Amino acid sequence: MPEWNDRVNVVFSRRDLLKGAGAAGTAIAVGNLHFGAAGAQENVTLTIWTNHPEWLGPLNSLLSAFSATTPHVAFELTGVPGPDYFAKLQTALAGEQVSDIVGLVEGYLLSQGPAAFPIKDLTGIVDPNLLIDSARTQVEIDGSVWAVPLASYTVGLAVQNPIVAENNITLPTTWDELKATCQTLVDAGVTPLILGGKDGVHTFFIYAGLVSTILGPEGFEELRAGTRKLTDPDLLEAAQLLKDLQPYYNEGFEATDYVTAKALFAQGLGAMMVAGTADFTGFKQENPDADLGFIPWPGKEVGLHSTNTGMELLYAVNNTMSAEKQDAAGQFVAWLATAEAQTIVAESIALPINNQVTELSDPIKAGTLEVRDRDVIVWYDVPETANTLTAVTEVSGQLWTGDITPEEFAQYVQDNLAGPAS
Amino acid sequence: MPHTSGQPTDSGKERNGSTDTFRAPGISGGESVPLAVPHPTRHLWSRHPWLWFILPAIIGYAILFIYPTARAFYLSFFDWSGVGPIGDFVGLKNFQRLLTNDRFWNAATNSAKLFLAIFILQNTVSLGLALLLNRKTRMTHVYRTIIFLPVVISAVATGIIWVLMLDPQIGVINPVLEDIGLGSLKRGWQSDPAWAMKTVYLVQFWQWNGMAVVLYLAGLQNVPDELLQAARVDGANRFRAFRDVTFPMLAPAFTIVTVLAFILIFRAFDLVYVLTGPQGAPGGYTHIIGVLIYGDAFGTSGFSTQPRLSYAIAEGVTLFVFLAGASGLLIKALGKRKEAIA
Repeated sequence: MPEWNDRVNVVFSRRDLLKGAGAAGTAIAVGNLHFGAAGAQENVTLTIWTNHPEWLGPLNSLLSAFSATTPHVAFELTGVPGPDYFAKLQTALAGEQVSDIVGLVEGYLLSQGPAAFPIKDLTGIVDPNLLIDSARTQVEIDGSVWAVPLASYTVGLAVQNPIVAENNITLPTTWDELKATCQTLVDAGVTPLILGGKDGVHTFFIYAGLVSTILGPEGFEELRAGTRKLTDPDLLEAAQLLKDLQPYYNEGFEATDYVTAKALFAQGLGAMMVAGTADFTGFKQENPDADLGFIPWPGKEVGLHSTNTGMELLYAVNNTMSAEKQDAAGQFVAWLATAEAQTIVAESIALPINNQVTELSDPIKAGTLEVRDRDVIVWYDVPETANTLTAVTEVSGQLWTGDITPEEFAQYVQDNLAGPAS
Repeated sequence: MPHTSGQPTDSGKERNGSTDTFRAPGISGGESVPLAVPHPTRHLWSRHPWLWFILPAIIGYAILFIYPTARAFYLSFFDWSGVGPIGDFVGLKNFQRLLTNDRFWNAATNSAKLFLAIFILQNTVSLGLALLLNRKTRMTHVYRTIIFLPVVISAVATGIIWVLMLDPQIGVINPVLEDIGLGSLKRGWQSDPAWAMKTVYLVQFWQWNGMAVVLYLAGLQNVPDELLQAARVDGANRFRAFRDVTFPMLAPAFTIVTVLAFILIFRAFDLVYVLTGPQGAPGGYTHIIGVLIYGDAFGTSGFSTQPRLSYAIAEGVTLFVFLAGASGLLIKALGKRKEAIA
């Protein structure tokens, strides 16, 4: 059918297609330049993600406070549920589709290095002297500042005050007291400890907390340096206590997920639960009437209590966008470190990372700061122990089923402190 | 043979240096008329215009499947966390690591067990239901709809519903067992290592049963009544008629159900992830290969974990090769069975 063939050749010749595509591409490029230039002079809208959708309200207030003084900057805030955030961030980074203000997960910047991310050097824009030490060590690398944490959080034990009062419990300060308290509560028909053991995250925080009571901040530096090991006899006791507390966890805790465990605790179905500052917002959302308290991890002896402190998302500036947007994002990140911003953070989100904001109106947050006198950084925030969360989550379930001993559990975590042993 | 169309052919075409020439039919010797002969590729497109119609699909398939697959094979030979520049070339180290990793084999074994359980259930319960639903009653369509309903429910929603029902503290299953006098059967369905995987079998089967029933129903409706009537005339009871007539005629449906179940189970992720979490609680007893790969690629929690993307890709490539090979063998084996029956 020569006519048909001719027609196809005429309509779809390669040269014609290329010419058409080139013309269309040029038109689009010109159009973008035109509208981009016009838009930048007017307003700038920055995209930003959070891994705490329950904070959307407070975060919008924080962003509005910035926009009030910088009216040409607006924000497009997206909430991504915590368990999905890491996958979204990683995929977006690989696909070069990350948000304008990049929310890096704590520890990620140190373990991967700034060069792994499309972020702007904020040295000279952000004042690192405003930051508390644990925040500063996360974002200042080789003298350059790369980000500012939104907030900090401290992990210990959340307590249901009414249950404590009803059962005349004295809050435990030592391991022996903790076990005795748990037994008293069991005898009274109360679940002493709520644990979501399904994904192993709660287990990690309990284990890290108990080990931290032995190590303290100095001992943790020895663990980082490799002069202490999780298989040292005194540290093995922490793994053993983790296992010994098994009868006191909620029924079916092995298959209870993180969120369900939080809901069970908020509803008063257990007396104590491992929790960080950020969890309290969720507890209150689940049960606005919840009357809660916070205590540090009891130590093996009196005075050896401990807490673990980490950072919420580290906000950096995407360096692939226009100069105007980078400037606006830089202004915001610098502002985030100020006392003005961190006062808002402390009132409605979590603990501040500005070293001048120390007076907190929220009683739980204020109480947290009071008991944070023997604090160890959250383990996965530093490269030497960055893999401990992954390692614990991989084998914690086997500790509960009895397939491995506490010694084998500690050995596995030790072998994988900074990455897979093999 | 005289050339009459005026188009260039091998017989009417000759080379003159680098220029193609055309000699008109019937003209001998003398002048040659220069002619631009179509490029071989262009000639292909001219002779097969239908290629233009499938070109978009081919391009789409190449971009969305062939390139990513080839890229995955490539990346599996590197050390890469998933962000920043691709790391060092490590050859087969990722494959070596996963083949000596207990977690990989545990997940692979659990996936195989899950397939076996679904295979047995689909070829007993689903087939039985299909036989029942093959009868024409007033309620047949209603029953079919009810049985197919779980297939159209999102796997995540299905998982959440079952997690809540099975929960020992807030679920309904244990209290119901208690209320009907079967309190001794109460247990931690998802926390007891002896029951956790059985629970996964049940829920996974609950979701996909409808699909197997529909496929078997379609097969049953292709069994000629005359054959069944002839079997009965020859004295065959219902069981004999089913065994010797109906079941052999279901060979194509059996092949489809089995191969589909094989592929679906070995790449299962969403439902099991929601049911038993990223580590296959309790203690890895329900860890399957799809969940393992996701965890290694993107971490197992919302907190800072160390991704191992190239290692996870190696796991995915291994699964791909296994599925492709095993599916091919399965289809071949089941095809031979069909031929034997035919």
